[in-house]
Amino acid sequence: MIILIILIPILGGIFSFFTRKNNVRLLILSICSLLHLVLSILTFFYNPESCLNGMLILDKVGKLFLLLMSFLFFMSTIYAISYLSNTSFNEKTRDNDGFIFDDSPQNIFISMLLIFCGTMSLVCVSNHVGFLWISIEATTFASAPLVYFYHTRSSLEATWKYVMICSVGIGLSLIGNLFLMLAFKNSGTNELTFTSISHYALNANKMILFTAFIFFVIGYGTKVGLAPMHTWLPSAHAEAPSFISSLLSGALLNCAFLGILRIQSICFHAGISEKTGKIMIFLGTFSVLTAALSMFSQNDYKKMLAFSSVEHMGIAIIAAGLGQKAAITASILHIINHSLTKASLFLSSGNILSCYRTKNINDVHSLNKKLPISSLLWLGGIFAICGLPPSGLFVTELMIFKEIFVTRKFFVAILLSLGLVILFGSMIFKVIEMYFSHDEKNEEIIYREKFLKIVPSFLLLLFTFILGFTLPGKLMDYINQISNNFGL
Amino acid sequence: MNNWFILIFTIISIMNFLLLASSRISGCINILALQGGIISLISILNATNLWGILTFVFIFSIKALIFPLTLKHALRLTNTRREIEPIIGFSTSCIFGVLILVFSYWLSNKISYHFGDVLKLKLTFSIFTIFTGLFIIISRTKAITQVIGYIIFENGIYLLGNTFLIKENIIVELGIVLDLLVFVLISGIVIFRINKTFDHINASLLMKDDQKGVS
Repeated sequence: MIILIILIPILGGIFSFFTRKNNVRLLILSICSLLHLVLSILTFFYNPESCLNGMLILDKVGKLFLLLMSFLFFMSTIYAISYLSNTSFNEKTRDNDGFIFDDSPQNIFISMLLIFCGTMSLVCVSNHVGFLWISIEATTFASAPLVYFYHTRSSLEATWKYVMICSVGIGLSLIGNLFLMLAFKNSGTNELTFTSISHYALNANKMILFTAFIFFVIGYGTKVGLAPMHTWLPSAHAEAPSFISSLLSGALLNCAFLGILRIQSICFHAGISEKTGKIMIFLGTFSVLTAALSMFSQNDYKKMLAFSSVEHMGIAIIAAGLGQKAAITASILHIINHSLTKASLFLSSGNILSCYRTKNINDVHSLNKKLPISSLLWLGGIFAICGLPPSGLFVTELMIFKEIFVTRKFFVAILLSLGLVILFGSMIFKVIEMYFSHDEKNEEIIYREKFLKIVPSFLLLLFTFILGFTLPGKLMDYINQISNNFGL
Repeated sequence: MNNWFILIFTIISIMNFLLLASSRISGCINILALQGGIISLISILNATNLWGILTFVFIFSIKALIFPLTLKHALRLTNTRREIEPIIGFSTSCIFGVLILVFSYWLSNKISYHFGDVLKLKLTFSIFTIFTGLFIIISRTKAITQVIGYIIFENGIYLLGNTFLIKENIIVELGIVLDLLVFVLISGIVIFRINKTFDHINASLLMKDDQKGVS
């Protein structure tokens, strides 16, 4: 079953590469994503067996992240079908700087999209240190052509930045892998699977394990988008097509976060989690503050969303570093809520982009008149992402603040709340500008919104608000079980 | 045996200084090829069976032949000869190189206080190579030089893996996956003719001149 989950998207990708007709390709894409979603729901009912000598196991965290990723992928696929069937390929268009560009060939794009899905599911199921590293690296490969969809100069630059910075991050996490192997050299285990490592973690060399953790948190943190290493994130998210940005922000960042979570779990078993937690809290707080200060001067609404991703990943990292069981529950819940909300927001930002043809906030006028439904979704999403009460993010942020106070880290609480207030203020201010500024020229023309482009964004937002009103007991039990075993 | 290893590690470190100091990119690529060839000698020193010799052939062909040749091809395509405006100048880079060496000696002492002297020396040189690569990535502006920096960084990781004497095959297997990334970067240069990387203000300089603004 695990093999099937990985192979379906990858095989679909290979098939769609060699298919000639566009409609067949879109059909393959939709069937694969539907099958993937069904399979990842089924994993909750039938416990899949491990394969490849225990290298691939679906544990509880893996299942949750896999389901989340698969759901987001399905929603993005619905959006993508409407989007791609209206895009004219191989046609030269002119961008704002007068540079001629065409979109990338559809066969490469769709096959890479499916392979991207496959590599992300590989991250969720891998139980081996090296395997996790390889699969996180593979996500970089697969997503680079997706970012470079519009062949413009700025998207080329964003892709180069993305690949270069993430490659260095991945190289650093390989050094982390080497140190981890060194730390477990004489600990009595030869296998480097997470199950056996966390079992023998007490025998490991603490000093070297700590060094390994630093390399891991810097390396995988580059992909998560923690502050000093986040520079690729805003440009890649802004330049990619909107449904790709929603996947990058909602699913890819989670995959790298899962990597850090698993390493932190090993440190927890080895008894050095207090030391490593401090590093995570520092990086998280720094990310929130960096995002807050960058938001001030932001004129690009997609970059605005990208910086908000940096902020929320920072909050989740802080929660994971606190070391309390309840904090880890809150961290995972926060990740789920953030993914749903952010994916919804990116999808509605795609609608705004295709109506106004600009990413500049100052050029978007009277949004509620032109796009009545999308503007509502956009406003709801912005309120949700800022953590206003009915959304799930409010609940999780409250939980995280509670845990910060329980562990008596008042300084972190002050900095965090300062960052959140700045973010809230500047985001709402910019969004209000989009609604209430007037432009006399094109006031009357109302853009026709497509049904398929609204539904996914609406559904995702609905889930966030449901999670805000009630936390289903089963979900809470499930996540509590995860944080009780922490990781495995 | 250990003497040979120390000789190899020392030669690689001297090459790092050459790479930091040279402004001609094709010269850089030549040194890189030589460095790759010397690094592949490590695997033949470690070799005990046929698998070891195969590893040597594999690493030699990638690091000493394929990378340099494709980089030279990319150099011809993008029409670059020299690194003209490095962010940090070449003589300053050399001074930074000395500082990095001192820093990596301090760091390896810190990490490996209970290791032997030989291991400490090896660790110093491999950390030095890693940081040299990272330094070249951040201090140069041409895309090709950044890739060269990345390859040096990767060589350093390979040396580090050998220092720890972890099972050879794991390093080789993981190293191959890292090599794939280098291929992606080089092919990016070859296909899209990326010449110069700049910050986002100056994105127009990314493309070759003749592709700019064709109507």
